[in-house]
Amino acid sequence: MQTFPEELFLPAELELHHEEVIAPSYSFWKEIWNNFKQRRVAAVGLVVLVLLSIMAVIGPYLTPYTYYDINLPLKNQPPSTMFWFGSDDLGRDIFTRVWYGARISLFIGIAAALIDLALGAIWGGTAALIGGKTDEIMMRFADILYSLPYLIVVTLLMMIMGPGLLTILAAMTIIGWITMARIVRGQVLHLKQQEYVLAAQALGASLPRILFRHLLPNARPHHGNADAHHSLSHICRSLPKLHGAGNTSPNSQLGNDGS
Amino acid sequence: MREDLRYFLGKLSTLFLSLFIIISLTFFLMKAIPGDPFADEQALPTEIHEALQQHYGLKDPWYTQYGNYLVTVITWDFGPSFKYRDRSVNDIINKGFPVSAVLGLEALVLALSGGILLGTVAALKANQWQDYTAMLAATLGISIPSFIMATLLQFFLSVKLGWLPVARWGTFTQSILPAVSLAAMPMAFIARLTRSNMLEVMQQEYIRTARTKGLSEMTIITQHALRNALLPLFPYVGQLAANILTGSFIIEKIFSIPGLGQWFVNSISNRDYTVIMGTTVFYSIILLGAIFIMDLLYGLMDPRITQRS
Repeated sequence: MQTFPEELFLPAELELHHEEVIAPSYSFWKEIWNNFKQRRVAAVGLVVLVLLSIMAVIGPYLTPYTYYDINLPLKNQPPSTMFWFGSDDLGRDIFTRVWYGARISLFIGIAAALIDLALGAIWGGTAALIGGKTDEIMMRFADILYSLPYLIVVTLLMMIMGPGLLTILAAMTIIGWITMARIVRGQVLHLKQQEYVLAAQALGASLPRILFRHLLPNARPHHGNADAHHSLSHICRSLPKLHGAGNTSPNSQLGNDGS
Repeated sequence: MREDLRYFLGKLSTLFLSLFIIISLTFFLMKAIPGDPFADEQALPTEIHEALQQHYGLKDPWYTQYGNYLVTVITWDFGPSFKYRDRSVNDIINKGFPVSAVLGLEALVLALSGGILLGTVAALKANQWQDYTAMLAATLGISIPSFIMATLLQFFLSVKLGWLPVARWGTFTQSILPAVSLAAMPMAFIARLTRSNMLEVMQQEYIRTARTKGLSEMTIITQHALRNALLPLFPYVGQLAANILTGSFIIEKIFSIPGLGQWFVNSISNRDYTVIMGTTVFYSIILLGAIFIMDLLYGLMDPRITQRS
C-alpha cells in the first residue's frame, strides 16, 4: 500500500497576494495634478488665488495706515497717491482694509469650503449608499436643519459661542454642507447602480471602502464644480445677513466693505 | 403598484413628521433668543410692556403658547403681526408670496433653460471658443454676488441706457432685471454641472450605440444624453426652487419689490413671533414639497434608483 507523506495533509499555506480592485496607485493627487495642468483656466485661477493670498499677507504693511485708525477730515477721499483705493466714511484707508479683510475672507472661504465638502460628501454618500430608512432619516435631518430660519440659528450661535471668526465659520458651514450633501447623494444614488459597485460588494468590500475608494472618486468632477462654487461664493460673498456676526466693528471683511 | 403606493405614502408621512419637527424646533429656538417684539428702541413703561405681553399671551407658560401655536398652524390662521398691528400673517403671506412666486418662476425658468443650454453647448464644443465663452460667463455668474449684479444692471441698463425700469413692481419689464439678477448664480451653477455631466455621458457606450444605429446628433443629445446628464441636477433644483420662489431679501430690497423675502429677515430682527412662525412654516412646506416632488421625479427618470433601494 502506497504511503503518503505527512506534509500533504497539512493545511495549504494562504496565498498572500489578494487581488485588489482599485486603480493602480498612481495616485489621486497625481491624477488631479495632471488634470490640472491641462486646464489653463484652472492655472490662471491658482495664480490669482496665490497673488491674493500674498497680498493678504503683505498688503496691509504696504501703507502707513492701519485698518482701524479714523481720520475724519480725510473721509470719503477718491483714490489718490495718498489713499490708493480711496478712504471710507470714517477716513480709514480702503487699500489697507481690503487686504486685511481678505485675510479673514480667504480663511473663512477656504475653511468653509473644505468643511462643507467633507461633511457633505460623507453625509450624502453614506445616505445614498446605505439607502432605505437610513437615507430617509439622514436626508430629512438635513431638510429640517435647512428649513430652520437662518437668522435665528446664527443669533443663537452668537449667543453660545460669542462673536468671533469661529462663529462666522460655524454659521457658514452649519447650513452650507447640506447643498453639498444633496448633490453628492444624487451622484452616489446614480453611481451605485454601476456594475463595479456590485463587484466590490461581491468581493466583500466594506461600505466605507466602497464609498471612499469607488464612489467618491467618480463623483469628483462635480465636486470640483460645487467646490469652486462654494469657495468663490464664500469669498466674494454678500453677507449683509451676517453683518456683525463676529466682526466687531473696526475689523474689515470684504463682504462688509463691499455692501 | 401597491409597492409604489407604499413608497409614496411612506415618503408622505416622513414629510409630515419633518414638518412637525421643524415647526416645534423653530418655536423653541425662537423663544431662546433674547428680546421680544415690544422691546423697542424707545423703552415702554414697564406696566404697558407687561400689559402688552399679557394681552398677546407671551406671559403664558410655554406649553400653553406651544399648544396655541400648533393650533394656529393646523387651522392656518397665524393671527396678527406683533409689529405691524394692522396686518395679519396670513395677509402678509397672501400678498407677498404671489409677487415672489411670479418673479421666482421667471428666474427659475431663466436659470434652468439658460444653464442647461450653456452647459450643453459648452460640453459639445469642449475646449473651443464656445466652451470658453460659456464658462467665462458661468464663472462671472458664480463669483459676482447678486446685489452687485443687480446694482450694475440697474446702473447700466436703466440709468445709463434707459432701456428698462430701475425698480418697483407691476409690469413685465419691471421684472426683467430682478429676474436676471436672481437667476445669474443658479444659472452659472447649473451650466457648470450640466457641462461636466454631459462630457461624461457623451463618452458612455450607449451613446456610441446610438451613433452606430445612425441616429441624428440632435436625437442623441436630446433623447439619450441630456436625460442622463440632467439627473444630478434634480436634488439641487428642489432646494433652488423653494429658495427662489419664496423671494430674496436682497433683490427685493434693491428693486423695491413687495415680495415675501423681506419678511423672513425683518420678522426675526423685530422678534415678530407670529410672522417668524408663519413664514417659516410656509417656507418649510414649500421646501419639503419641492424636495418630495424632485425625489419622485428622480425615481421616475431613473427607475433603477427605486428598484434596488
